[in-house]
Amino acid sequence: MTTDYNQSQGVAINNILFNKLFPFHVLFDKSYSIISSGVSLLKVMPDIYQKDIRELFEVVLPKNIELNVDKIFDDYKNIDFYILKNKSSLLQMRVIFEYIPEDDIYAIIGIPWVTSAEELKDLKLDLSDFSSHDSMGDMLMALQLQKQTFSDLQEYGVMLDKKKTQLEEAVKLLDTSEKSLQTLLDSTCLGILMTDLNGNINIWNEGVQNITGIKIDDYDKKNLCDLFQLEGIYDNQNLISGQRYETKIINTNDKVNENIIKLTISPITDLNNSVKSYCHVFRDITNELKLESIMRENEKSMAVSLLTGQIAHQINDLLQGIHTNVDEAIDYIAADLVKDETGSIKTILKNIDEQSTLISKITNSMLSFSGQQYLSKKNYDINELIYNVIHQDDYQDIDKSIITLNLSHLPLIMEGDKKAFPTCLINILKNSSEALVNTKSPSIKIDTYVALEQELIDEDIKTSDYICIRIKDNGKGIKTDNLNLIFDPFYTTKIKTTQGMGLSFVQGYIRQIGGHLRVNSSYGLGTTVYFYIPLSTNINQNTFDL
Amino acid sequence: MYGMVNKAIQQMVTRDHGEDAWEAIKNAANVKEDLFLSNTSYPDSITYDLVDASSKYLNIDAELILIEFGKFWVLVTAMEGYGGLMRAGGNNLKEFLLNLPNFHTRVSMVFPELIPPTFEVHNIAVNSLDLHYITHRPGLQNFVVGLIKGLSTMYEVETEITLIANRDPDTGKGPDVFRIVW
Repeated sequence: MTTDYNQSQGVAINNILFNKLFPFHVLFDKSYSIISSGVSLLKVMPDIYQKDIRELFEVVLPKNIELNVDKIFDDYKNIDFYILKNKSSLLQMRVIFEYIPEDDIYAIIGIPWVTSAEELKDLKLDLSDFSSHDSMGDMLMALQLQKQTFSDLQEYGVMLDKKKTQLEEAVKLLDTSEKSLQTLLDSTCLGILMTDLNGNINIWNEGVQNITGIKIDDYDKKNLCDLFQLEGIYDNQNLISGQRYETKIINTNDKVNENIIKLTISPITDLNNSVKSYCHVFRDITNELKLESIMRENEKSMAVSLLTGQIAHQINDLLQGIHTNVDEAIDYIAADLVKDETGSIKTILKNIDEQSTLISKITNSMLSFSGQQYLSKKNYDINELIYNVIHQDDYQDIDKSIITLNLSHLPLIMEGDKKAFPTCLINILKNSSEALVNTKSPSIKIDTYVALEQELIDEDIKTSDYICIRIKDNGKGIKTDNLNLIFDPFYTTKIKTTQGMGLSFVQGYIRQIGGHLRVNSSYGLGTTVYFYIPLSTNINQNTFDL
Repeated sequence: MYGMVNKAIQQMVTRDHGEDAWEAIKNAANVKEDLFLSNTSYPDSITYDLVDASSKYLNIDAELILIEFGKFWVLVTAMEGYGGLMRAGGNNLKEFLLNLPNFHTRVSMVFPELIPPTFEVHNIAVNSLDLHYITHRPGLQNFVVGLIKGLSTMYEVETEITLIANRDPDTGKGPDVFRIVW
């Protein structure tokens, strides 16, 4: 490209300014002899004066261009710039050719063409060798930063590849773990099943089918609540608060073999302790329950044997005593001591009477337990009976000072045996006293009142006129597991006690007079016993015995 | 802040104390990035948090650790990533420091979204000059000391660096002035 200097205003610039503006320039005359060069170019090519420029440089871009000023200014005038290469060094220049008519010389204006700061250093140049207006330094910086960014991205890529490999390995491990878990699940005799929060089934093992008798495929997209009629089970407070919940299901899905299943539901929570799903474990406990029942029957049989033996021994001992006394009495009679001046026969007969009475008590207890006790039924005011029991001097093993009475102001008339009810009451008070042994402020409260209708409904008692006697202690209470066993005639928690017929005797008697017995207990807090006894319907003066 | 500064911290901790130490420091600073892109802008808080966490984890005074990071940045991070540019910055420490203002001006031109510090050179003598460091970022003076120490090592010259004037403590404006004598 040439410049039409005729159109320009033109300013004369000195060599120093020209050098500052174009520190890599070359001036040469028509004979191609170099007459001047820029100060920065001299750092790279110090000895170029009067040399033929064609011997020092060649045109490398565009290709096949001859360094010939005539051609450059005539034939190649559409070419914007050239890349010249120094024939004896690494230096390449990006240049333009200009003709300076005032001096009839040519100028090559350009800069070293480098694409990295390292190349610049190889030429022993630095950024200060470029003119300040030259953007070569900026370009080099941009290129360098770009290169660094590219390098960072490559590093990033390597890191991502590494992470991808780790993820792939993790996925493989998960696959393997899932298969192992499935194998493990399938190998257990438990049924394990996962649902979402609404009971929709996600995962299950073969154990579920084995226990419930329902084909596995039937579960797909089905709801557990529908399958087992467990509507509302996830509203359970335990589950909502993230705790485990257990229940029993009588499974009738298998038409041939009905079984009892223990279902344990465990909430699965995330890191924030929010419940995300439920894990259900099914366990067939039919055989366990049967076995448990058999064991209990066995225990009872053993206890019955033991009790029978003990009763037989007691009766036998008493009969032995009677037999001895009778023999002795016969001897006295044979010795013609009929007058019994010493009173020996009288003593012997008194012994026989006492021993017979004891046998009668034993048989009565047994009859009471079986609900067949002979009762001399008369009307009694329950308040009077209770008052008398508490204020008698008997029953020293009960601390009566801790007993508070809150008896109804109205007479509450029951029809029963005069001795049996106090015995029942003493039984309960003895149990309470034992439960209060280590209690800080022991207390027993006895209330009497006409039973409320709601109480009777709760007890499933049809008729409505009942007396309620409530005996409440703040003792150690009864464990939930044991609560169902306390009326078992041979159950006892008392070590080395030979028999446990106390409460079963109470229950037998109460039932015999048409009443009900209820025991509520919280382990660690205390026990409350409720007697529900029918109000007497046969009230007339003759039948009272107070 | 340039990613390259955070990258220098990462490189130095990893090289001298291992990957586990870096993970611990990163977690303590609550930094999620696995890698820093050198020429990308990151919030300044990341750099400050990393320096703070490194100081605590490595039990090294924060001022000393900043000096070490500065030296490491010049001698390892910058030389690995910008070796050519670093060397093209001058043939000796003085030339490099004289070019430093232009260098940062060029950085601003190429990455207009970055806010590099400004450097000015005053009182230029044969064996000394005053380097004015002007930035809105607080607390990084010792990083600059580390950078100058790193450059001294690069050009194999002994230097004495003295902070002779501070920016206005109330407004944060004005230069921190380092007198560098070699």
